[in-house]
Amino acid sequence: MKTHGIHVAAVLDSRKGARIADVKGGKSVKGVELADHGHVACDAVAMSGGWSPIVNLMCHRGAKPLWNETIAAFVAPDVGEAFVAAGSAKGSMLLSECLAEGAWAGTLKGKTPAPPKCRDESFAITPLWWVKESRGKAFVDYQNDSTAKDLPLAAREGYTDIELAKRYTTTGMATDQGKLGNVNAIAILAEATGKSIAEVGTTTFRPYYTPVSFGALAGAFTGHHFQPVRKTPLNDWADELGAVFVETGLWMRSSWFPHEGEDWLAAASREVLATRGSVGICDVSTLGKIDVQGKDVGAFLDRLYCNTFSTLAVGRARYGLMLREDGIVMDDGTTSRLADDHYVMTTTTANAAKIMSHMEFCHQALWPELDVQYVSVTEQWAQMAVAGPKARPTLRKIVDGIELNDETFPYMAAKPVSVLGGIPARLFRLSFSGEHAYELAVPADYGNMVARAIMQAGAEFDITPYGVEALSIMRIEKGHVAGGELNGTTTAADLGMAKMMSTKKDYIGRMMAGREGLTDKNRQCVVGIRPLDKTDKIRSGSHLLTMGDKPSMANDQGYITSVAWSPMLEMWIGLALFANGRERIGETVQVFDGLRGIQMMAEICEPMHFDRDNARLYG
Amino acid sequence: MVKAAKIAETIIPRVSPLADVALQGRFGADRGEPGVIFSVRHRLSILTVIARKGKSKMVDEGLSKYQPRWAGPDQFFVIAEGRGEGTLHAEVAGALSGIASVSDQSHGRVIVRIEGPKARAILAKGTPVDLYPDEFPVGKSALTQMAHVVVHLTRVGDDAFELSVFRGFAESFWEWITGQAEEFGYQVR
Repeated sequence: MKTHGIHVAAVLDSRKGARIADVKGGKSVKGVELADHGHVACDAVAMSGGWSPIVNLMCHRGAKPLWNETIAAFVAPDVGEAFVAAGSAKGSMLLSECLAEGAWAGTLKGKTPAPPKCRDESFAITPLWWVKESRGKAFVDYQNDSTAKDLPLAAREGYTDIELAKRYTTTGMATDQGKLGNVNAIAILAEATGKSIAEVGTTTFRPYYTPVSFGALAGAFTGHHFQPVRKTPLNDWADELGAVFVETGLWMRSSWFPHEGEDWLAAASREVLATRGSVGICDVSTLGKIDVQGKDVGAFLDRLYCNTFSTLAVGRARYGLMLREDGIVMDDGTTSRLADDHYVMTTTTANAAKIMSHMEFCHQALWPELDVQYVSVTEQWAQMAVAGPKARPTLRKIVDGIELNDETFPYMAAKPVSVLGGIPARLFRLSFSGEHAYELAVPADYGNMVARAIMQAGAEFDITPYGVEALSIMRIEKGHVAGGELNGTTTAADLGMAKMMSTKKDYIGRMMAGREGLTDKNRQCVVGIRPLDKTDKIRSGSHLLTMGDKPSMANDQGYITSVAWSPMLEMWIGLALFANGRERIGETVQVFDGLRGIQMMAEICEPMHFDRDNARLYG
Repeated sequence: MVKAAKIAETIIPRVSPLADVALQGRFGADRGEPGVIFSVRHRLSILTVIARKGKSKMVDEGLSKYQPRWAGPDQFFVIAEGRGEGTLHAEVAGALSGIASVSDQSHGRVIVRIEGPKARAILAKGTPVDLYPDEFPVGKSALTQMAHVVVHLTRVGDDAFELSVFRGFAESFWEWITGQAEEFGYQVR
């Protein structure tokens, strides 16, 4: 410093008893006061912190550094011969040691050259962890302003473990991650708890050693590339027809197909009317599809679903409900039996990956004895729903070899077929819309072509493409539950499906579903809801109150889970979770939405708003 | 079945999700030879084969002639070219009846091939898998993630790899990986 023209006011050696007790000055340093009450005028103070090797990289895989009393520092642990520290990185302070270790570590296959000769300078350190005579604030962690008093306080409060003391005092956090003050902090905590520094140890070292900008971590994943886009095999077909797409997870789903001048509601309403009036086609490829095979496949499904699948006949589909271990509904979908030892399961779009890992967990951890194999085949199939009174005559034109009728293809039939003179396909007579409907699955590379062919085949019936908005309207009209109702709080009984819970077998969720709170008759269960005044619009999320009650948490009777403008009934309709709902069909309730300032009256009704005898399903 | 397969592939063409995306040509940095060559292996037959309980050995033997690619414990991908619709599935499912579960994934996955001197450098930007040849020799496969997409990665040559992704992610993944090749220059075949 002298060579740079800086005047050094004093060198204070703590080994000889000199200690700074306080620093004087406000916005800048004016001088220091010593423990022996002496005073030195200066405008900067520099402090030697001893030598602490950088051990972070060697500790990133979980090994803790070791305390070395001689150099009063933590040194790198032994993490195996693939990665060794040498020299001062290892805590060796003598030049001769550094040269010898460098020669040893830097040589491959045991050939060690003689290190050069040298003269060592002596090394010794006497730590000074904190200055007891200090009266003002003495910062230990310069980035988080934690002081020498904070650590004993943490110990007095019971946070004696270094990991807890770190979180209590924030010592060792922020961008330096304790590189400046952690050794002192650990020593102070050791003194306060009566442990040795080695016993206190360090907190966990995590990457990165140096601060990394968020930009470097984000990399190319910005804007359009923030997350990958997942397109269905029918994307091009829908795009050609002017679909508006909506993000569903990573998927892009066709949401509605507007004509000139139509908004989403006008488009979706027209799509519903056209489908219920004649025939519509919808891309349902995003539903999770899992091939489940093996000798014990029936038993496996019986344990996963609350209802029974082992008795399902080959060529048939069945609606299934899966519970979580705690008795709450996890997911639903139709699962079909293609052969004795082969089922294809469908899951909701949102839960596809979750159900796959659930199956892996159940098989690997709970029932490894079952001979069962499963793999996602979601992306193998382009799947389209063809629904409406003219669905069958439309499909008749493209399905090869069989005459589609109620005998060859009754409701819930599920069979391999071929279409368009040779494309292998799977045909399912399933209905989410409540119409006479089918789902046709073809290998994905043929998807766009087959969808176009169905459009052609249905042209004489004015076939209409419909999106997830129309799909959602139709399912609400039919009272079918979806995400709003399968919301992680509802039981099978809440959804009106208590009868699906088999009493003849064990399955996940069976025991816990029997708990008092889950069978309480006052639980909120799914009902239909309609505004009393047909011109009113009900909104999802609104709460329901008994007539005459004031809005309060205690008076809350439930809430609206799904709503839609029903083009068939020409009014807003919805589904709701409503306390003891099934006993209260016909009751008039107050609809309260404090957030949007809505207050109106509505009638509780059966969840199924439309075609209550399901005549259309079989028509 | 064979007849149907012929019809399906000849009269009605399979269309790759990358058909309008992976355009042929020379792209990226223009410095001499391209760092890598990309190609889409389309019209493949791809199967997932999973051994039934206690049948691992029989499956290993049954699949030996197909050069199966490891895809998890007792699980493999079998890949073949020019087999027509459904034929490979029928053949392998028939041969391994009762000892393995076989699912056709021919349309469900898209396989991109990357080869050239910079192939490893490009893959290293996306995967933590150690691609050093001693660790990851020709024929070895790994399940990994690149750009948030699950990728089944196989080394098919000293400087050649095949990347298998779910069909729906193919376009996104293609955009990402070709973007990573920009600095080296690349050719699409």
